[in-house]
Amino acid sequence: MSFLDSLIKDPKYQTTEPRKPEQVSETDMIISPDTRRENRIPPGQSRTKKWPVLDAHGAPPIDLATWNFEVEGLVDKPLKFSLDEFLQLPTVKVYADFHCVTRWSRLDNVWTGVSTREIAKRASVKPEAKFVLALAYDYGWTTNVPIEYFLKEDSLFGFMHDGAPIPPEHGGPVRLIIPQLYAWKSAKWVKGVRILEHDEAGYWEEGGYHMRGNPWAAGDGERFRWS
Amino acid sequence: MNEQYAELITGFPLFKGFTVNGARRLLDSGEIKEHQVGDVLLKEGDKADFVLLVLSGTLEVFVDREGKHLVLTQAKPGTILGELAVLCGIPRSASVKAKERAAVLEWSDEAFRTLLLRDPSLSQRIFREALRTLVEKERSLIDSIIDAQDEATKSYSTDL
Repeated sequence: MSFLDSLIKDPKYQTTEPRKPEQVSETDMIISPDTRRENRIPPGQSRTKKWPVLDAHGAPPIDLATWNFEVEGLVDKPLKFSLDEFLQLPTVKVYADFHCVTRWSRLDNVWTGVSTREIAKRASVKPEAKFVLALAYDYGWTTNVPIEYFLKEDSLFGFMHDGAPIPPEHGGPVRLIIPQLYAWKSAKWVKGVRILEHDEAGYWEEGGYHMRGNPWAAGDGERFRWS
Repeated sequence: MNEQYAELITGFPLFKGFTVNGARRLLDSGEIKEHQVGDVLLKEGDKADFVLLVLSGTLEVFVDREGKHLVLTQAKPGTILGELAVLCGIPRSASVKAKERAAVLEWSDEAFRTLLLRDPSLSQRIFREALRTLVEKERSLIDSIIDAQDEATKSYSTDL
């Protein structure tokens, strides 16, 4: 198979121009507000039609039979779900763009999963909560997110991307999706969240990556804490 | 000891923004080596299969030419040495010895490349620093050439 063939036969390769939010026909779709911007590519980013794979350690082995998801920290009701239980929760669909700190942006993604608001409501997050530390299956990997971004309407724990299960290399079975921040905040292989009052640096943040990571921040976006 | 070095690394300008945990990961991917005064850490012409981060002490970067010992620079804590030869796959372009008792973090070729490949922020910082050093060397070389030409012109004028 030629390189071009393998690209075009890649089911995640986008062969058409991205839809505009008003062209999304599903009425129950949550539209990520950044897709309504006139220019959907943040400063310093370029559009990719592919879906590149980047991570710190590669996909970890995950046994779906023992997979579980926990909510801990500043909550009145700590939660724990098996995969079956998690998939029974009410779902949402989100139309969103996806911006990686390595400067690619993948537009026009449809995520299906459980809204972060649904999880926060079930856990009764305490009022003093200000930050969320997402915990992942890949060898203790974490990332920190301000709770206002975690609770945006378009943030979710996704298990489907464009109508198919999220493949392991892209963070399945369940991946945190925070469309309004750089994609490293969208923790692959998420295994739970810890709700905190104080910010706590995650894996990449411990290496100088931005504590918030807003791609739309003036200049070049909030990529690193050193530039 | 590693904990002290982790704290130390967070204060190096090249690693601005690193937390102690982040610095610990850098330490875990390499090996700390201690050297006495006069120890040679890198030798010009040798195969380049590791990179150094100076943790403590001062190292002297030098070349020996026609019986002359030419000191190119002194490397202080926080400096990375030997990365260009590793990245370019070329022999060491200079030698390095301990001017005083020193500790370095030594990353193997593979460990260093893995660090850079996995962490775009770190690779951007290290390439930026390496290129800045090269540009400074080039400027210094140009200044030396101009000085040498001025000297040559001066002596020619005197001869007249």
